[in-house]
Amino acid sequence: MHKDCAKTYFKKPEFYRLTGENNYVRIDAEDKVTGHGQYVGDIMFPDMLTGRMVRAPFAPARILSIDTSEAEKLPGVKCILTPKDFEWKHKVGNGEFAAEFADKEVLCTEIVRQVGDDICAVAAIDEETAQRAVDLIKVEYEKLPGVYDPFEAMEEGAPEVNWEGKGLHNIGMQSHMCAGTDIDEEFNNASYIQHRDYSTHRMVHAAMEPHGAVATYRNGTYNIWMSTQMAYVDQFWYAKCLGVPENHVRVIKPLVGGGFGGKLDSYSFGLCAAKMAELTQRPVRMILTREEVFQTTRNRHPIYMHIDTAFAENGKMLAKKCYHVLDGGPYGGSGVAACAQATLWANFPYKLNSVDFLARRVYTNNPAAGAMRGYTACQVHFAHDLNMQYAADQMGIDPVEFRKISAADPGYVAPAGLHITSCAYKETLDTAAKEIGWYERKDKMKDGEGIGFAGTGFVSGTGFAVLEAPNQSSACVQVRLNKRGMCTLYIGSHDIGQGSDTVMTAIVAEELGLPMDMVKTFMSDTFLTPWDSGSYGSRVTFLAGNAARRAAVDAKRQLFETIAPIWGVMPETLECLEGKVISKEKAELQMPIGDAMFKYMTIHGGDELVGVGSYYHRTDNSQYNGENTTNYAPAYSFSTGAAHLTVDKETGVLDIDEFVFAHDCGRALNRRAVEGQLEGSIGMGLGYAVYEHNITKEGKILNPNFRDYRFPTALDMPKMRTFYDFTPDEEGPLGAKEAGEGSAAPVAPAIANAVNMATGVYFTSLPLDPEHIWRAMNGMEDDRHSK
Amino acid sequence: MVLPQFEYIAASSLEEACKLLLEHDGKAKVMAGATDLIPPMRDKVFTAEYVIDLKKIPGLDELSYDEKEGLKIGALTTLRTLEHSPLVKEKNPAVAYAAKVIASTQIRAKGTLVGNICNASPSNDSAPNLLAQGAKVNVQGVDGTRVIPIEEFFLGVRRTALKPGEIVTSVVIPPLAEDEKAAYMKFAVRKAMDLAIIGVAAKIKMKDGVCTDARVALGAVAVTPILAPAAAAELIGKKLTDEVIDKAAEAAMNSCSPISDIRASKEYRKEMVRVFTKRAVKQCLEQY
Amino acid sequence: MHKSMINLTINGDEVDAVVKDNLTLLDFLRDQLGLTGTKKGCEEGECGACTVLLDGLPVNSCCTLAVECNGREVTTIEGLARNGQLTPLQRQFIDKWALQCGYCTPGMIMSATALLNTNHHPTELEIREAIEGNLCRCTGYAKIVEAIQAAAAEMNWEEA
Repeated sequence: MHKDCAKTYFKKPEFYRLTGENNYVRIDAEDKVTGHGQYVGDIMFPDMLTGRMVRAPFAPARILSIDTSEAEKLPGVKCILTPKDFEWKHKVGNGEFAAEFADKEVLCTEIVRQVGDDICAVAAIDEETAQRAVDLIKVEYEKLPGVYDPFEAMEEGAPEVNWEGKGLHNIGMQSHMCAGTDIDEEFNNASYIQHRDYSTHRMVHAAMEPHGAVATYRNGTYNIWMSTQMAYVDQFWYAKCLGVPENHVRVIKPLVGGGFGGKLDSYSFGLCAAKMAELTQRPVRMILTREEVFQTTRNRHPIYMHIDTAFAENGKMLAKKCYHVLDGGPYGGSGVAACAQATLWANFPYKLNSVDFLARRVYTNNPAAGAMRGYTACQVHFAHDLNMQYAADQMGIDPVEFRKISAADPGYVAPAGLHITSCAYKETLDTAAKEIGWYERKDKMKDGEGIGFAGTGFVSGTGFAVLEAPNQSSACVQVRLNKRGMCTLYIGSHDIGQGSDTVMTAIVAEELGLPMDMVKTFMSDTFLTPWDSGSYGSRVTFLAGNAARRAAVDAKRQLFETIAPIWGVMPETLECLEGKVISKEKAELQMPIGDAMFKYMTIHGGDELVGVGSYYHRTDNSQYNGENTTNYAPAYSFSTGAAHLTVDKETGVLDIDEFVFAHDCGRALNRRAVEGQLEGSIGMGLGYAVYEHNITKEGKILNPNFRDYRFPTALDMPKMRTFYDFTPDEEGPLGAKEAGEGSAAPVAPAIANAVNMATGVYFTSLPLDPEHIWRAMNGMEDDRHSK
Repeated sequence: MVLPQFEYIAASSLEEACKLLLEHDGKAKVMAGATDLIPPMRDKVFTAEYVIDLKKIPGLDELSYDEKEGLKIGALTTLRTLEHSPLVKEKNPAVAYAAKVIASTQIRAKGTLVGNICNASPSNDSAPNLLAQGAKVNVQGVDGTRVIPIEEFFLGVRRTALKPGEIVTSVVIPPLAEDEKAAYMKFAVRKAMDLAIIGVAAKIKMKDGVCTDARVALGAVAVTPILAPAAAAELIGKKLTDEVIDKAAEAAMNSCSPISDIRASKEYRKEMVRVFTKRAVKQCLEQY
Repeated sequence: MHKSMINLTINGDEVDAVVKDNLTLLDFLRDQLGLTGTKKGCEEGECGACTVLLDGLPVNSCCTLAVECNGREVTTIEGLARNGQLTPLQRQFIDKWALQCGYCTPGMIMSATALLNTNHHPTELEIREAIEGNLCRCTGYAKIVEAIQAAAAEMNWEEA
């Protein structure tokens, strides 16, 4: 349905009930508290086999031979896949438009590029047999020289990681965003210029549910239950790699136990499960161990960032140049987009006259990096906000005021082509400053005490659809109404724990004036539900939410156009409220929705009513190919984080007294859902800032477990307060913007800025674990984890 | 990951357990809480053909206090029991505290102090207190019982003085006199579910404002938990002023040579030994 | 392959089973009994997703052998609701939005159940200590703590 037609029938805020009163619960909550909810590892079939991968113990290496004979003899082994089973087919990548960037073999045919690379797969009658078979498969390797530092990798003569002579040495992706006034002139006219370097470390998603797949093969169709954030994209790549058309591949997302970007890649284990289901004619379950999740799925890119910034005398930021080098590991996949995004975030949340941002994603033999909550926003905002704080201190301006001088406003159009619509960044700064007690406390800080702020911006509903889609539509929704007034909702969007299925249901229930339990929701099944490109880029609430609203409104319009003539009124004067169709003008005109539907079906020859909706945001591929000046999203969210802490100067241990979070997410569709996202962001951000670090040696993760990869426990969390009542967004569904991804970005820089104040040391790298802080305070170099 | 295969035997008596252990020497593991047995077996740190469970043996879950002998902790007494026991909290709060800071609530519900020391991890939280307080380890073998002073118990990483067929039946910690106080400090990054970067236990005896006896023990700074007699020597015979405590802390730091690993560097561990020795001694003083 | 015959009580029902000696309680519950509410997160006793009550105490079922539970009583998440009635804790987890992805939720609720069984008036610190061994990656724990507090208050109100 066309945008403007839908708007005629959009419900006005005075008629909001559900999202207004905020009294609905998650549709999956009871399943989750009773243990009845099914995640992929809980799916059982009679006769099901267990799958396991054979993985490379070191990298890089050349495979000399693979001997499966001993494993084949083991009773109970039903299938062994070797690289030959996939070698003639396609590699795995990310975007359809950039299929030529597909660079990951399903099983390595010759060259192993990272530790844990997929070599073979086994299916056996049980886990124990599968494990033994894996141990019996003999793979002979020849070690090859590797490269583990992106700067070394870019040098001519460095080992070629996964680079086929295209472009610059070992650079998988490059993105240059250059726009605005003459940048040299801006720097020449500046009254203060600074040049700073920052770096960030490798972190993992560590979703509590390990990755996994269950596959069956029936009637010529692969059915794959997948712990995924993008079932439709999996369907695309799996079809390509299995060598069949997409109508032979059905991907179904069961409950997903957290994703955070880690389930955005189409991994080999799922493909192998599908292939083995075909070859054995039995269901195959393949669940990764925690160690495999650490070593062989994706992680957050370490980024090295150089920033040059020019300021006017009053502190206004004029222009910025930066050079970001991303350690991508040996594969692209979801990491490809990270490169362009690493330039995008440098625009936020400040106004600039001129930008010159260059990012390079470099192939190395480290574990492959990819999307992770914020899609490089956490790294880039860490560096760029510390850069702001440093400038504020150098120029002697209060850090909150300093940020406000250049802060983005509603209506601002950035040189890079970004159109800011609603924007409460300044309000988030004021709220955070007030709530953390900045103005009372700032002149009375004790030794070792610090308050730090960080301001960030993020996309709300990224336009990029990954696969080619008409109008770039990346979210489609259908609703069906029956004669009892019950609604069936079909959504393609992916709830990976954030609660989007509930929010979609609530949006539809709100528009149709139905109680939540009159809307039955079916989700994320590539044969059943309409197209949706996945959970990434903070697109679900905004894009899928708008699509859901339009589908509901489309149904409502058809119902009104049938009922209005009976009542002798105009269809636009009707509304759905509290289970009834009502006239907004004549109180006596009302009818239960079920009755209205009965009339509709009578008049329309028995047809049930179907409403369809979609939503798109038009951008172009220039973000990846070319100038990179485009409006990435229909709206943008803004946040300020504020931390108050003390540092134990003897040990370097932080005691975070309080974290205040102010987030401009437009109108909250469910207050508890938003708070949960913000609190979860603080937890993950705190982990990034202080606790979590994937330590690698020659590409091998030395701490692939929760014993040494320590993310915060309930005892480690600070007191948190969240604020999010800012202006509704005009284009957002019922006024909403994103609340769960951009919110991860300001946590680490706020903590780092507070530590800076507490210690007097300007930190430039993460994580701020106690030893890092202690070393810096004692003027010692931190060379603990040098490659 | 499925565990490697083994045969599980629930021993019904100590004699039977010792006999089995001797018979399958090198191939059998003793199990109490299993929390420090299953993960390393899964990770193939060690293997066992036999797992001998002690839990059906009566009487091994003793927890008692005797004015002369002190606190007796049986082989099956869980860390959770120690953590919550009013008796332990009253008679030896440092032991209750050290139990509470191990791993998680779930692990402590099964794991035991005796298991913790028998695994002989350098960073185990139970050992420093036992060393500082001069505990005795009661051992049963095929030929009878013997007592191993805790100072002689740890031989290396995952290596103890137990001989083939020997099982620790209990640990006895001497009573703390009125004028004796003890403390344990664990230094880790997380507040739960973490291994000690270093641990320091101290026990001091004060008479008329002068320290008449002291022991300091360190965890995670050597292949075994160790005593730091040089640190104790700085305290004994002195009034415990800040300067004296600083010197003792310095001595503790200088008496160890930890390694660098993914959790911390050698130099940081040494410095933290200094900081936490100081804090442990001060925490003892605060109890007077 | 060594196997043992075991007899134990699971969620109030007596169960006889033959188990491999190397089978963990977690795999026994999930694969042999189909009680998949108990989740597998790390298999190292470090995440708490597999927490069950063993004789009333919270333990990691991944660090417990099935054979070790012979003669003992096990309660899993499936055993909490009786006659279709959720426990106050389960209801409060729903009401307070104390879950997101839900993968840690069963273990979290088992730990909290163990706490409230013995301590009807827990402080916030005691609640956090009770769930210290249950990692949650989504929520930042705040709503979980709030739900446990609300359930405790509700139980106290019922007592009074």
